[in-house]
Amino acid sequence: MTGAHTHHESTPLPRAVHWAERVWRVVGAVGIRAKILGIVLGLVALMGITATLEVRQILSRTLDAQLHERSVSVARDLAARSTDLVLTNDVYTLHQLLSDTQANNTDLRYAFITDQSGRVIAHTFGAGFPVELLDANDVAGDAHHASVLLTTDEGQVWDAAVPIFDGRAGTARVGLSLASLDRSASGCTRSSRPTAALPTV
Amino acid sequence: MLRRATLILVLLLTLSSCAMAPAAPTIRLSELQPLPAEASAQVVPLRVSVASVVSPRGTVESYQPLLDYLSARLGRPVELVQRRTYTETNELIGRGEVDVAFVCTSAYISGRDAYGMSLLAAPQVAGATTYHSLLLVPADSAARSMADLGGAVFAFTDPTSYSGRVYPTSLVQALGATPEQFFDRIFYTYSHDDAINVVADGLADAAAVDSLVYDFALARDPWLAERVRVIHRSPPFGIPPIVVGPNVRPQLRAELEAILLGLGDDPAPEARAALKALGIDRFVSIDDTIYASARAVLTTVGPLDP
Repeated sequence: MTGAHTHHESTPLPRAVHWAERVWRVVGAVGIRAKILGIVLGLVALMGITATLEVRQILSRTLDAQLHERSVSVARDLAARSTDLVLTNDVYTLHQLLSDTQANNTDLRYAFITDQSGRVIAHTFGAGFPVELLDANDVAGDAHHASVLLTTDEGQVWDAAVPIFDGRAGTARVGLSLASLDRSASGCTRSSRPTAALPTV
Repeated sequence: MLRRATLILVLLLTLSSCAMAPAAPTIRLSELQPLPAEASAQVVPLRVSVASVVSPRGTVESYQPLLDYLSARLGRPVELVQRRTYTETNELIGRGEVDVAFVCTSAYISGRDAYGMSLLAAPQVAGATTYHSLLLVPADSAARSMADLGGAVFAFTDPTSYSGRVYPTSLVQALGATPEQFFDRIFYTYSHDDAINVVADGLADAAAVDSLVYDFALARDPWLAERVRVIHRSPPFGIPPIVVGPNVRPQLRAELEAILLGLGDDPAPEARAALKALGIDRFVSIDDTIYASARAVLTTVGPLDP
């Protein structure tokens, strides 16, 4: 009998009921004005938290959509500018183009160019290449682009692939990190916390 | 009661785990490895270079059907090798890095002596194996000859182009000046189609281009005639030829010659498509003597700065 009771107390459901009873004992003991004030404060706090979470969610969605669009736009620009360089095998200028593209887009984690047969001609990784990345995205020659949200050891990355010269000269791939998105969303939550808490004062 | 709640919880967890998609593998961006080495080709491809008479993109569009035809006839892959300048193409031949090249007239004249390249065939266009250098200005330009272009912005094509640099330089020299003295500014477009475009777009006051490229561009885009005007047409010169390097085996040379010279008589749709994409009638045999007039102009102009 005692063992069964112990077993009941350790399970989550009866424990929650126990806590609810304790809270109700405290709440039931206060006066009606305190109860009304508590309900109002609770509702205001709840609305503040809900609004903050909603704003955070909207901001995340908007920034995510913008990052996605920008990854495609950067990849298309790179594909257009690299066509002649790939066709004339001007690897040095191609490498400069990739470096400049990365320098001008701070959240661009990587950019690389593959030839028609999928061999990497130029990339921004320096010495070596994360070979798992090669097969993570692919695009048909007649497609506008192909996008994949990759999970990497450095966080999520929007990977965009764009065919160069209808795929006859290869593919341009770029990866835009979502780290800035997370930073912006967290910053927004932090800044809106005092505003959300203000009505309760 | 408790047993039922536990059962529902377990059921919910099972259902949610079934509905979840399998997690995508994590790509390790920080784990850098050497790129896989290129597998050596089973069959050695025929390497063909095309001088940058037209832009790299235009070259692929115009020459790919011919290269596909050559590949089918030879039974081996054909690889197109492009470089930015005519000189680089000549060097590919000289180093034996390509077997065949479509070169410019002056690149052949200099490459014959410097690299031992020899004539394989030449295109015939409208029954002729000659072409002209055309002096182009925007349609609304008041210029009527090279003499009117003093102080203008001039677009040369390639530093060693015959029709795009050597010939217009000879016209300026005939006026008693060098291009650097005569024009306000000079720049290079590195292809004839881009030279036509810079004049049509008003980026240059004039340019000299290969008549074959101009006629081909005009056939593709008849509106071009309303944007540019030809103010001078050179005498005929030997057409840009197809050459082979000094290390090409005689058997391969003979095989290539037979295929190219027979292309015009081949009724196969691939052969027709190849000729149509290039805008030519056929390939014919050619003799070095056809380049005598161009060689004479080159001698008169003298060496040009690269």
